[in-house]
Amino acid sequence: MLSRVHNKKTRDPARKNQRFLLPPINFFPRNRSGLSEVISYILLIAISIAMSVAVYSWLRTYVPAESIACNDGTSIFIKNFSYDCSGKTLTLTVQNNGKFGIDGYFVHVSNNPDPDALATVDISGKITNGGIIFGNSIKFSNTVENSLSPEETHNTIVSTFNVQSFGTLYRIELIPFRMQEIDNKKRVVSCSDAKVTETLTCN
Amino acid sequence: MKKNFKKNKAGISPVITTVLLIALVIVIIGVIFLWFSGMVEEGVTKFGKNIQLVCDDVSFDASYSSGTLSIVNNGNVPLYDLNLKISNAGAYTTKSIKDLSAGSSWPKTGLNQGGTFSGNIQSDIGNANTITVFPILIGTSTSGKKTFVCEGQYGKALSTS
Repeated sequence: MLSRVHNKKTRDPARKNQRFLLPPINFFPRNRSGLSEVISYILLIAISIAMSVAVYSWLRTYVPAESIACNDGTSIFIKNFSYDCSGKTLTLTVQNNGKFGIDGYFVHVSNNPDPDALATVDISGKITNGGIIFGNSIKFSNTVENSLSPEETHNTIVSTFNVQSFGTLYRIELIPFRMQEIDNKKRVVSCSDAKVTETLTCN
Repeated sequence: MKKNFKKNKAGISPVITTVLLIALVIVIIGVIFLWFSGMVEEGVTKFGKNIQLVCDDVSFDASYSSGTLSIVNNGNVPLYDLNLKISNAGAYTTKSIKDLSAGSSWPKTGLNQGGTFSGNIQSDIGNANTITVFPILIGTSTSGKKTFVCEGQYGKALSTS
């Protein structure tokens, strides 16, 4: 509601700017009721603790942990092979030329003449000597871990496979693995960086 | 008019007050934690860490030749499933390998260390130009087992020509 001063008698320089006056509104009443300080402290502390615990439990999973990986320097190679196409046997001489012992290897062959085709045929179940079937792999010993050591006296093993049912083979791949202790557990660790591939030719 | 404030005011014992306040704080912490946990996306873990980090440890070889898709898991992370992104002339579809005609030979528990897969998928891909293979891992969350697709740079593109 506006009020105007018309009366000449009250023309006062001090009141010159007060021609259009709004009724006074008290934005800050003295008698304010609000949340008790004690309760506000409780809520603030509780909210901060609860959210910090929730964020911690979620963010904890993003802390990078040690990856399961083979020791650097693990290496094998196929020193010699003999592929008897008529008798359908394959004999491999595998040597450890790395720095760490090897517990066994995954062995796959390819019966596809295409050089780009992967070796996907698992022949581990067809081993006749020079290793023990261990799931889908060959293990050198059941009693000694990583028994194929880099030492000259124990670094070579000869294995023979009966590959009669797989047709003509063109390629073989070996992926060595080690037994390593990770998080206080013994685990089979595949050494994909040490994979070896060899093209097979008949004797 | 003067207000009459009685000097002798009775109230709760300080010991009881402290106990009540502590109990109240603990209860409120629990309520807020449960509420906040429901809002935040639950984490899926594998090998003790977030499953997104495990994608870095996945290692596999893939090839496509004469209609046959070959997969070799030469890493230490089991491949629970695979997503195949089949691209053709600017469009693409995504299928799980278990849904393909060769999916019956995919191991039910996934491809473990040293595991291999080989199957003819020619009838499923038609005239596709490219197939991109994305690994799918399975992890653990508070609500049980959950799968996770390692997308982006973790896929392997194979040409079908």
